[in-house]
Amino acid sequence: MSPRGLRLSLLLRSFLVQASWNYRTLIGTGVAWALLPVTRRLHSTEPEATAGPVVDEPFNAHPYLSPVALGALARIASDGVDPDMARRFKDALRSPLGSLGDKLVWGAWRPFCAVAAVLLAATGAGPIVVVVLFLGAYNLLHLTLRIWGVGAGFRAGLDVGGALSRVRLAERSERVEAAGVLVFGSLLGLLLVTTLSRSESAVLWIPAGLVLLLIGVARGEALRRWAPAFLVAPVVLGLLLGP
Amino acid sequence: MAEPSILLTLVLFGGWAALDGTAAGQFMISRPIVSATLAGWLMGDANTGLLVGVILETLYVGDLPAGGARLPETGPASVVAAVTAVWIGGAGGLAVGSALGVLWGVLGGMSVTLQRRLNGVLVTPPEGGWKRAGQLALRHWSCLVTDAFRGAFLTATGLVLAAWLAPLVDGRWPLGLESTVPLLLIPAFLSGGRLLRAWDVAGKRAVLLGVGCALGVALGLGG
Repeated sequence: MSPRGLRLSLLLRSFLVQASWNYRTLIGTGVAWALLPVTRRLHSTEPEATAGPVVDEPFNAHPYLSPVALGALARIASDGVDPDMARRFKDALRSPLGSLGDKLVWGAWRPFCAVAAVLLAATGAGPIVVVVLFLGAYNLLHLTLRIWGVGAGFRAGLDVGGALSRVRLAERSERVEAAGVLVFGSLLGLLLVTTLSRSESAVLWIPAGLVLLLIGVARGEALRRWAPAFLVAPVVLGLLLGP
Repeated sequence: MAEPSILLTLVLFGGWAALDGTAAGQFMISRPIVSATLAGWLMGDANTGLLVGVILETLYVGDLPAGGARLPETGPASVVAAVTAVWIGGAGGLAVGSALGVLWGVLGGMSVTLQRRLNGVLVTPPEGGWKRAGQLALRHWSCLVTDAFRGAFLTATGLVLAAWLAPLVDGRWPLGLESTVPLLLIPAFLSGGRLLRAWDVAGKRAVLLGVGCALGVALGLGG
């Protein structure tokens, strides 16, 4: 397999790296599976290729940044880096690949795209338009990260930390968050003067919404489990008291 | 109800949405605004699907799956929610569909935990480690297949429950659409507040929030 073919294989396998997510190895088994083409390439003269030293070790990374790890691990395996050093390198990668990805994608990009899509729907855009624009915008960054990651990891090898710091993912997260705040504000303003105001019970909904918003700001994650109950309880009550 | 071919497509779509949540791709097909809208479209009512999708998407927008947090599973649940809303129809359908979607999301989250435990069993290597690369690959793929079955089963059971519920709740919902939509959107303000907290809205960002709010008000009043 050519280096280009190997990178393509790693990229495609990165989409399934979480398939065997479990509490023992997290995505470690998935990473071992994704690296099998590398192992087979290195042990091509042996009758039965073993899975190599990466098997059955815990590993974690944000899924969209896992190609960075796959590329770098493939490179250092090809370079014949000492297995102990490779293991230490892998351990060192876990934290930055997890936290950078969580902050940029789960913490900023996904909610930004979701709020923008809801805003689009609230302005009257058609259902399929909303879906296509949401998926298109969201996956633009998603696919960019994966494609960039496998190439950057493969080129940088042990120096992948430098490649990660050069793209300044944390700074970009801050910018997306700021844009998200602006879009969130727009959605809030729009809902207040349309959906909530046009109801017969606007006098009830607007203060209730603003109070819940402030409670959410004040208490954060402590109230995560309660939001669904706020939806289900009135529906059950309405059905019980209904005609 | 719906033709068997549509129901089968919805069940398969639920399985795909479950895989998209964690195991495969994560293209966000599993987000409510996508899966509920597409399920509604398959049922011939994409607008109701979008409305359900917006209600559930805003409810979950503050859920950030950082650090392996256990969250509701939105994909199959959104399919069930949208189909229920279309089957029952009107404001009652929207309310019951959204509520069932929320409950199915919680159930889905629990089943994800069980799936991850099952994955742990499936990928435990034999004594002495993996002898052949193919063994590891087979176990990895078996996790994917069982996860797809889990999502499809969850969707199918949700649809059976929805079909049973539909005639029972038909005509029992007391509110019109203009009051039902705000009632269902209000809980999302709690999630929105959590998101603003995560985004650390203070100083310049508080100004941005105010500017955005003014723009939204202008957009609403102008439209």
